[in-house]
Amino acid sequence: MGLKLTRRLACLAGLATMLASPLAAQAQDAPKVRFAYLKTLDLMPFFYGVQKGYFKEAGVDIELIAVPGGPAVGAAVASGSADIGYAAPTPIMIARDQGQPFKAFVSLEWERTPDRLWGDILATEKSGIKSLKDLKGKNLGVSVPGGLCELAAHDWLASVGLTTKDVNILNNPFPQMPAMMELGTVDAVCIVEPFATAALAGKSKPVLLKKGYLADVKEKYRVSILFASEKWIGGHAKEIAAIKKAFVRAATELKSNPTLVKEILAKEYRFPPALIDKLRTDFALDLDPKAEDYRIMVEKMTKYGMLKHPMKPEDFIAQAK
Amino acid sequence: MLSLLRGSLSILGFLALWEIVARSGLVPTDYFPAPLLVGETLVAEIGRGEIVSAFVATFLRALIGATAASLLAIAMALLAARYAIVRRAFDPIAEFLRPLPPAALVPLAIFFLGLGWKLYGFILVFACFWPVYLNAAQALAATPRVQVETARSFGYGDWAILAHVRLPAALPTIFIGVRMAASIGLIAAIAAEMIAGRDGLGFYLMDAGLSLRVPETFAGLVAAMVAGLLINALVMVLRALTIGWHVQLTRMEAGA
Repeated sequence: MGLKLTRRLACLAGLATMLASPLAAQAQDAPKVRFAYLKTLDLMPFFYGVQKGYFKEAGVDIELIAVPGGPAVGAAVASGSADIGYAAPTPIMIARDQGQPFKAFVSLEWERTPDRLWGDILATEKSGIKSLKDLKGKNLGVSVPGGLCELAAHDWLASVGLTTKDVNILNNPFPQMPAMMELGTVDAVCIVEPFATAALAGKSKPVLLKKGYLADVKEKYRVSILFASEKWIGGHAKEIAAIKKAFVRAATELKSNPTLVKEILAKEYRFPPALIDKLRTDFALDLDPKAEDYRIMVEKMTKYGMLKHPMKPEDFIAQAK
Repeated sequence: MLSLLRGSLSILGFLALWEIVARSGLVPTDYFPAPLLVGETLVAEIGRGEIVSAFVATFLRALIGATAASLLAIAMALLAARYAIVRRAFDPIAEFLRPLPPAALVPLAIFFLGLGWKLYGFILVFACFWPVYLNAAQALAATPRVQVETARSFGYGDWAILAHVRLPAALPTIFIGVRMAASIGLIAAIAAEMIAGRDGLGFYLMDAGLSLRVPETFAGLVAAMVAGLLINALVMVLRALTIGWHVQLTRMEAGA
């Protein structure tokens, strides 16, 4: 009986090895893709998926290249130091508008009024600002030029009949914004997570003026993407499919396990514990770029002069093959 | 011994002032941690190892960059001292390029050099070259005429005079440039890492900032200060080994 069991186990082990070896070989031979990224919350499935080996299993070996700022991502891809990059759509649309052959090949996080909004427009209590109209003549922090917050400033101000010329636009990094609000250097900011939560918990007692990067847009629009050069996208359909597959697998796991998300926020992101419980996280699962997800953004960027040439949303995205 | 005591007292005074400002409420306490908390964080970060590897990466970049730039600048200054045509051709270029801030070059340089050692090499050599070159060129040109003519009367040729008379006489001033280059090298390395780095103290500072880890950013600054002190100490050791005679002479003159 014992011998039989041993034989059976040996057979099973052999079978498992036979089945596993093509997978192992596939993982080992997976083509390398160099990914320039910023440590943002919506990329958590990437870090988790790489750590768990999901990307290799799907057929792509992701080399994570951390860069310290948004502009460095575009530069890394343009220079060939990275194959793909993570960004908001706005700077990549501007880069395309200025001749860089970039396209979005994965759509990530999205917004829609009123149910899914990530960007916040906050004002400090001592600024006396109660509504968007009160921003006239005040200092408004919007992070980098060409970013989503520049578009947000244009759109929200336009919604109350103001323009960016009616306020003093300050370009400050997001991490410094909560402190600047407390010091009174800025009266209001366009801010993202986790800095929005940090600011809201801070001593400046901010007033939430509006939520969202675009003013009351009830259709879905994307606020983060993966992009690459047209040439790279053209020659790497398999890798793109593998990236989407592995990302969705990791994101699905994370969405169903809030405890795991909190663990990653503590261990990988190393956020202060007081912040972790307050942070909002969610992950996109529909990653195929669709023109309609970018139409409103292209229209508004053209309207506010952020794009100098006509652009079709269809030209900005790489359709899934 | 007395100078060590004075130095320690001034550092203690600085830390006390820091503590007072942190406790006073003049600045938001969440964003301006007290020195004790920064010290504790630094110890914890050293234990994790991340700050140590960041320190090593930045320190080596600054050291290698400053060394390469210094050698290149001294060689260029020697050529300019030997051949007037080289000096006349190069000096306008130097005046034109020298004011460019290295940090402003990083975003452009990424496009043609990518992220990595080529970018660091370019930025660091560019940043560190000018103080050494300008000091060296000025010092080589200022060699007392009597020393040059004396050497010539002993049968020294132009190259021999350059190597045995003008260069040794210029070394004290060249070291002023090298010392400046070492400090500038550290600044340039951290700036480049903050804009386009994948590691090093500049990247560490940005990463800690993005995760709202304020005490860690201050710990990173302390590490940068230590790197600055260390690189300066290395230059001073090299200076003592190379031109110890000049250091002793200066002390004797000061004593007299």
